[in-house]
Amino acid sequence: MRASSVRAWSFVHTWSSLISTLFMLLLCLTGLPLIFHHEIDELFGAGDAPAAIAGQAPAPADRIAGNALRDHPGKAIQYIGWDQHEPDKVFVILNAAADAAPNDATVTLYDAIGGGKLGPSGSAFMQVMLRLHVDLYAGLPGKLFLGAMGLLLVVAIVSGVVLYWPFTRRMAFGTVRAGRARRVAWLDLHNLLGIVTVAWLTVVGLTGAINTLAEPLIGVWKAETLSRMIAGSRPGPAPGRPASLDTIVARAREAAPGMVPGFIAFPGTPFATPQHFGVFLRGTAPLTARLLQPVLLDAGTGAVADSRRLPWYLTALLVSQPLHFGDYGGLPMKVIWALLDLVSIVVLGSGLYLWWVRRRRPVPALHTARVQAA
Amino acid sequence: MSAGRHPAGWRAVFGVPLLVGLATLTGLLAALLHEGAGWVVSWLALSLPLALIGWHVAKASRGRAYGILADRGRTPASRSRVPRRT
Repeated sequence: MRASSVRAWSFVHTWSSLISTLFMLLLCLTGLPLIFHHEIDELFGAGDAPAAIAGQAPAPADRIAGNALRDHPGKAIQYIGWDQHEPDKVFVILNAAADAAPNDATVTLYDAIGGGKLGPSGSAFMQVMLRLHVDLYAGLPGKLFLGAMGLLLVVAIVSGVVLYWPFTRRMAFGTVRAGRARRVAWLDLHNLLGIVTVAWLTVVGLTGAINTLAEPLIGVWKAETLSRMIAGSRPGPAPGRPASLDTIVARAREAAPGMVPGFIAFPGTPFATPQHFGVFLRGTAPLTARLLQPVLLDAGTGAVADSRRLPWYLTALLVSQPLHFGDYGGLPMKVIWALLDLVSIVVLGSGLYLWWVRRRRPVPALHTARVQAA
Repeated sequence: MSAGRHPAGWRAVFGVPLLVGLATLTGLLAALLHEGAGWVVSWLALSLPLALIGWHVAKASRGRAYGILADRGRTPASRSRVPRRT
């Protein structure tokens, strides 16, 4: 590798990292509690549902919806959802109106068997962590900005892998020259920690960047597919009295055999139309449980209007989510995710430190590379 | 330093990182595709980078302890000397 190309790659690595480091540190730190949001919410959030007795029939969705509206006067239901990992709870998302902003929504848990209120989902602390992690309290521009930072991280990773060669080619893998000057030891640690976590960080960075595009992608899907889905069906008479939720869920299940309901989107929400309910069903196998099949049903009659597979870009979005969250391999995977996150924090911090000391003195290993290249 | 005598082939430099990267991707996919054995595969595969870090950092800190003993008698300047760009 020529000395001039080492310098060029160093420039790319330094500046792509420096620009994104502050935000990456924020993402790593806020991401740490988010890995365990399920466990933390359980500690501080709503209590558990009374232990379900086997064979007990779940409460009708209509009863849960009625309870939720009674518990939250003046609010409208946006979504009712079932989490595959919490079969004894039902999520009800309420807001000022069906089309109100998602960040203003309240999520309340209900007992899937008894139908009674369990309490709010999540804690204020986790909400702050989530907003800082997802959009910096700046809505869609904040998300897209963090997505751009994620792409800069990928640039930093690629240039870092290229630089790994001139900086380590004269040493056995994993050598940490702990007896040498502090910056030499930190350079070796930066190289070791960075290179063994490179695949993980690339996957988490890329899937995170994909997640920032969720809003625009759903917008594209609405414009393209949703309008085509309802084009074939004549809107029924204005729904004076909406169809029963249980009828709607039953008809949606008939339209998507072998699948179970994931959530109901109420008319007027981004996942439905003003005249239709959207029922999103999922599979039961590990991978198909991540994928959703939308069924649109007339809000007044409850008749199935249409059902189509999700387009590839929403499938990609749904598959990328577990790969970012690390929530698909039990508690051991979450612990590993957290440790890899901590390693990334050390890589970011040591990179910052190396840049700081190099401002005064060149990194010694670069000298080695230049001599070899000559 | 003996480290300087290692061959500079790409396999010596990128061999272990490539294996770790492949193990990571295998682990990430295994848990996604299979809920039982896939989980165990992912735990083992994703622990590999952590184990390597632990191993090499422990080795370095042990080496450092020996190194300080071996360095006794030398001047501090010769111990911390670092080649500099001229």
